[in-house]
Amino acid sequence: MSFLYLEARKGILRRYTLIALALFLCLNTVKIIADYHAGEIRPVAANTSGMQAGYDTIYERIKGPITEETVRFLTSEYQRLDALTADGTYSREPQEETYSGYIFGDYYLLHSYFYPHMEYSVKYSSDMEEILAQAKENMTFYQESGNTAGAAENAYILHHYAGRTIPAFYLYDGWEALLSYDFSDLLILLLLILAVAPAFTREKENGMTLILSSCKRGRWPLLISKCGAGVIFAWIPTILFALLNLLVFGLLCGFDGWGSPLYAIESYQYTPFSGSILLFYGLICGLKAIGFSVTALLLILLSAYFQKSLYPCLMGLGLGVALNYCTGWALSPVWWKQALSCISPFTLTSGSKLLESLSGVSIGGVYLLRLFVVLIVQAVIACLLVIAIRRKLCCK
Amino acid sequence: MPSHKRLTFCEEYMMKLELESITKFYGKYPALQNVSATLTEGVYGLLGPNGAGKTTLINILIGILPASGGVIHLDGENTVQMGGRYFDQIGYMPQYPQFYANFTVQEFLDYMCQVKGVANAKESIDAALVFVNLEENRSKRIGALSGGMRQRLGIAQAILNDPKLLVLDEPTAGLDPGERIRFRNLISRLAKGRIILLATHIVSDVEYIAKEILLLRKGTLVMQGTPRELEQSIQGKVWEVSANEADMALMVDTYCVSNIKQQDGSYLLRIVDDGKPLRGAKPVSPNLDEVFLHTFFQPSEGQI
Repeated sequence: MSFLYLEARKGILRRYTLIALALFLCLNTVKIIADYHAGEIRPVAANTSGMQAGYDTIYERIKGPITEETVRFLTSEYQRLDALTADGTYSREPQEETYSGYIFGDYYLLHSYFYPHMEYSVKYSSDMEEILAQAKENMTFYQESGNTAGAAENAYILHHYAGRTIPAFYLYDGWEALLSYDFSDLLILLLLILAVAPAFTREKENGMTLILSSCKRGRWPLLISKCGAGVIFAWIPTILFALLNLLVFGLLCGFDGWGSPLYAIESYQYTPFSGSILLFYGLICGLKAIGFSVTALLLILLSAYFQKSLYPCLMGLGLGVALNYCTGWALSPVWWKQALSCISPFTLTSGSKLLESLSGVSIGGVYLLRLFVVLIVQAVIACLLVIAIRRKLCCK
Repeated sequence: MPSHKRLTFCEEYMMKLELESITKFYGKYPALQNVSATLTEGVYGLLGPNGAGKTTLINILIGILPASGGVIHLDGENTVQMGGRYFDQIGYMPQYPQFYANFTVQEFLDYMCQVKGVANAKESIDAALVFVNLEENRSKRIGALSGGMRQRLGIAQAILNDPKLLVLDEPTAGLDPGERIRFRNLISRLAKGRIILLATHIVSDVEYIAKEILLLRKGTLVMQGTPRELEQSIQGKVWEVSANEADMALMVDTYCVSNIKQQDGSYLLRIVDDGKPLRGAKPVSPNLDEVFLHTFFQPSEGQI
């Protein structure tokens, strides 16, 4: 049996951890379903069954590649219903020839869901052209005035935002909710605290510290295997929760639109990421895993400083709250708030916010996304944490 | 004073652990002062009261604590310069080991083979389990083992790498008399081909099995010798006195009394004292408990 497996088996793959993981997966599923029925994921889901049926009928009619026919249909239906409801004299009785059973219900569906999204999708390409033209103008201006940072940012826009278009129409409520869903992050943090925080305190409680220290591989190799097991454990629940979330959101809201570009979701219209929604989901799950890996190392360091498992657990929880608070400053214009958010590993666990719109820094004329800055800082922190753990344990 | 025996020609070619002026300071506090000793194949008892420096000496011996001064040589090689190779030669069992309750015996020994870098793990584990008579329990969870079985598992993990130096810290603590005897026999069988250092403050643990005993007091090695030599060192300092109940109480308060035995309505006391304590006192042969008392407790330190 490998060293790494036995290390994981010793501290992480324990009955209580696995039970907690199973319970948290169930709790997470219940939370998503409850949110869905409360209308927090897809507002229409909280309405009457008539509204839901109307929504489905219209959506089936217009979803897919955007064609002249679908745009004409939606525009004409919207104008017709707008005219009918404009003077308030429309019938409030149930009617056969409607999608939802009521005239105003139909108008509400088109006005709230379909028309604005279709308008956004159709106009996106031309809107982006305007932005590119403005960026070109700005770049020339900044180059002339010697503002390399401004020039670099606009050059980045010109390079990364050109040729953008939304070829298909889908409603992305489910995807948008999935990308910003973070309840599972809290559960992963709790699991990490439960499984990883006692990494070294458990050795002390079991009287194993001296035995291990007197063994040939009881220093660096042991430390690497502990850190390795902690990092692997950070990845496993992250992947499990990511797959579960994808499945549950998909079953509730549908998987339509997974191949659409991320900017097809209106709140991501200025995102620097040009790949598909599913690819972006994979990316942010990877970022979460990296963030939780650094968190695991932080918990292992705490564990090295305490004698009882309770203390690194409580301290880890406290630090989790504090660092999570700092994450909220990721897009702050204040430099020290930005610095604190870069230090927090939870900035990576909420990586979708960093890519919602263009946010970065210019270093020596090269424009670097803030996400990469955070990644570099976290890589440095991870190395420092491993060195600090080694210093604490091996250099008495 | 530490006694340094002159090595014979044969002993010079035997396995040898030499401690030369080992000193350890914690800040300004001296935990060990110029401890020098030479250990060869066999069982050595390390006796001393709490705070004598036993744990510090053990930690230095097993390589987890650097000495402030002095050197240790194993077979003539400086252990610090041996680096990782020194750990190949060490087996260590701490006091009250709990190990990992969720591991089976087999898993735990597998893990220890990994940590110790034992190449032929399967053979080593099988041999260790047979030796400590735990082969029937290899699938049992450690949490379900009795205290004695757990101590034997401690020995098994310590000998996995076939160490030259085996350090056992209070190995019989918490065991019942039967288990203690079994454990002592186990240690005796292990002594062939290796140096075993057994730290304890239970004199009977080392009385019958130790080749030599090292007495450590306040960080200083005050005596080293065979049990017989140590007993000889206080020859004429142990007395037997018969007393009635009132005198007995007075003597307990005044002298270092090693034993009180009730006999025909009176009491027979064994007193450790440099001089004859009472007119009727008769000198008797000392035992190791009395060496311990004589070395570590003075009458002024209070009643024993």
